[in-house]
Amino acid sequence: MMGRVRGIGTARKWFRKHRIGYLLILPSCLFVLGFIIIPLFEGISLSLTTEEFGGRGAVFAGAANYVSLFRSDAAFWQAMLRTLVWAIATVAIVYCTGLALSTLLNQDIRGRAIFRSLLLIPWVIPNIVVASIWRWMYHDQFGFINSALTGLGLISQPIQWLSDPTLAFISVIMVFVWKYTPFMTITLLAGMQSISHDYYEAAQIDGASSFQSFLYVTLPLLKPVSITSTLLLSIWAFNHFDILYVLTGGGPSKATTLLSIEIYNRAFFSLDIGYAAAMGCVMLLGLLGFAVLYLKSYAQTAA
Amino acid sequence: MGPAVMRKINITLLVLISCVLLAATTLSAAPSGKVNLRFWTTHIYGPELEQAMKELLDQWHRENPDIRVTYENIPGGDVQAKFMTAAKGDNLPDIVDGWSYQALQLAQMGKVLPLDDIYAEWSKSGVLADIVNESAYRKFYWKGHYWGIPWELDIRVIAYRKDLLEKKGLAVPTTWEDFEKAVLATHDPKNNIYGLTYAAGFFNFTGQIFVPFMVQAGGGILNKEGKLVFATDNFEANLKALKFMTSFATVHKVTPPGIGSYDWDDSCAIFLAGRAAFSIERGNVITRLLTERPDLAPKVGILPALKGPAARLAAGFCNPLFISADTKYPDEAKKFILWLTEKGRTMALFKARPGQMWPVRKSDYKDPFFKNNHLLNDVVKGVLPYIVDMAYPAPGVPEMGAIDGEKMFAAPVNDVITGSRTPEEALKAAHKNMQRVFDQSKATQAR
Repeated sequence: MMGRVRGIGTARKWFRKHRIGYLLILPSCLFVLGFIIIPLFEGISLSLTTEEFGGRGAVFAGAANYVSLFRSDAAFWQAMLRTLVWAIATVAIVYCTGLALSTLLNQDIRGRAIFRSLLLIPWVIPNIVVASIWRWMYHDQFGFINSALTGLGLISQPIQWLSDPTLAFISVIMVFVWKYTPFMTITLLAGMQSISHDYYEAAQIDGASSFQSFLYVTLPLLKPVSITSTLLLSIWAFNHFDILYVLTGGGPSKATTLLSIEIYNRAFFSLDIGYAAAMGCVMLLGLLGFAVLYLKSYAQTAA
Repeated sequence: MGPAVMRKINITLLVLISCVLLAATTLSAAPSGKVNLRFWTTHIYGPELEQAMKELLDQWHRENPDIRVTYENIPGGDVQAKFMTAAKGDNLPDIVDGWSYQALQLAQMGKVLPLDDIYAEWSKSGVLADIVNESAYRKFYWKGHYWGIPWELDIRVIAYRKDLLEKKGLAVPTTWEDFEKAVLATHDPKNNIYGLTYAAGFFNFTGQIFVPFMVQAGGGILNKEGKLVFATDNFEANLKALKFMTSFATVHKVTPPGIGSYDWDDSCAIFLAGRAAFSIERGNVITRLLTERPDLAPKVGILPALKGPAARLAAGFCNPLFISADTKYPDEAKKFILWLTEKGRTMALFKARPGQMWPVRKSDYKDPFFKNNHLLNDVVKGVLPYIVDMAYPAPGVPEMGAIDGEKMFAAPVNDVITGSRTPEEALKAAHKNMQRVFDQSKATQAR
């Protein structure tokens, strides 16, 4: 009994000592709970119901939404495939472009600070504005791109950037690349600048060329930064919505309808919220699985 | 840090939190004895309309000092998500100026008050007979009740260049055949002028401009009973309409080649730049001509409703005012919407941006404002008498909200223009998607 009382007393003392710390993290905890944890569980529970905006209350449906999703929803799987292609293409292009630019900006060139600042412009422009700007840039009659290509004598007829299904998909990838390359460049540049010069000097003494130094010193030491930034970018690409929705509406002929747009339409226009939640959960599971495998493979390589 | 200091910090925090909570409560509470009504609008865009709405509300507050109305305009991109989540969270405003089928979609959720008493009153007082046509309010009738009242129209028109027609010695077309001839004749690639422009992108507008062609061909999405007949009973008629509408781009090639990605704004910009002889538009083209191209406006006219193989009809979508079922003040809310829809009351809105919003009352069109502008007058004489809703000939069908929202009847036009599907395949694919909405709705109602 005495021991228990002493234990409670110690706990009280400990709590009194750390009270301020707990008070300070309380708002963040409440935020995470209110805006992430509860909505997440709400989403999962909705996916197990027939909840519809048009209905008057949810009915438990078990795995019915998931069954029809996996068995008969061609539109969902088409959107899933499109989203995978989109995510792989955008992440690969953004990473390669970012790597090239960060390598350039890591050199001792004149006006480096100005270039670095200019590079950030696409990153700071809101997505809706980005979509509107590019919509006009791609316009077949008034767009800057077609005008420039015509002016240079490279084309005689305007290119249908957004009305040809295949070209539209490539065009929206390019907008995403334009928007997110600055993030990758700055992140990789920071990673490069944290690499000690001693490694490069040692490589130089061993007779390594610049390319070999890049291949055997820079790239391996950039790996932790690359893993984190590409993982983040993959998540953003997979969840992407606003630029595409404004730029193409998901068209032409659904060629740019990603999973996020399919889910949005299903939830807010078809009002089938339970089914849309199931789609969202499958998307979440896919992303989680990818992230776990990605980080695990990195951990294995690092070990 | 000693216990005394900690106690002081705790007391200070407690006092601060109490003050913030007290201030918040005081600010959100209505002044004693007053009713506070929240009013969400979805059509009051631009400073001119906002000013006109503000003046209307000022007048209301002078006449009704005890009923305060606070209005908020919801931007287009946010409307559906905001309304549906508000409804789900029991937080809809008292009064709503909603999209065409929102009243019925929300009524399905039990979130809207029936307004049959207003209709009964309007029927007695003759107001109902003053509404532009029956379909303008029949669309709000579902399951034995009226869920919204008509208060403004959103119309689809074809704008044309009078000077280019005159140059070719052509009369104003009134039939499909004449329209086709005129478009082909005025197409002038040497002078960089397209015969026709319209938005055929994967956007809602594309479907909405397909409506007049469908009904002119004797087709449509639904039959009189509200049953989906898009690619069944109406297949041949809708196919005729789809082929006619898309042939300008796919067969005759007299449209800008990029229309498969256009939203209405892209197409309108081409017409305003003087680069097209005909353009399928919303009424707002008049607003833009008058403000952005006053030099071009006298050379432009609005075509009368075209006569197709089956009928002379046009498209006009009536938007509703409705009252949330969650309101604590249904009587005050009804009082406000009756006041707002009184004869001539909203004329300030229609005048603020001519062509953007259109009255639903025939008597409002007697205002000289409509006669004095040749573009508005063209619409009043040649288009308004023929307008029908997208659900024509059916009355209220809540499923039309999802069908329009998911761009299901925009898809066939977009599919054909971009070469992704044949007209036959495009109609059948769209029908399949629409059927899903009806099946889902049926299952919901059964539960």
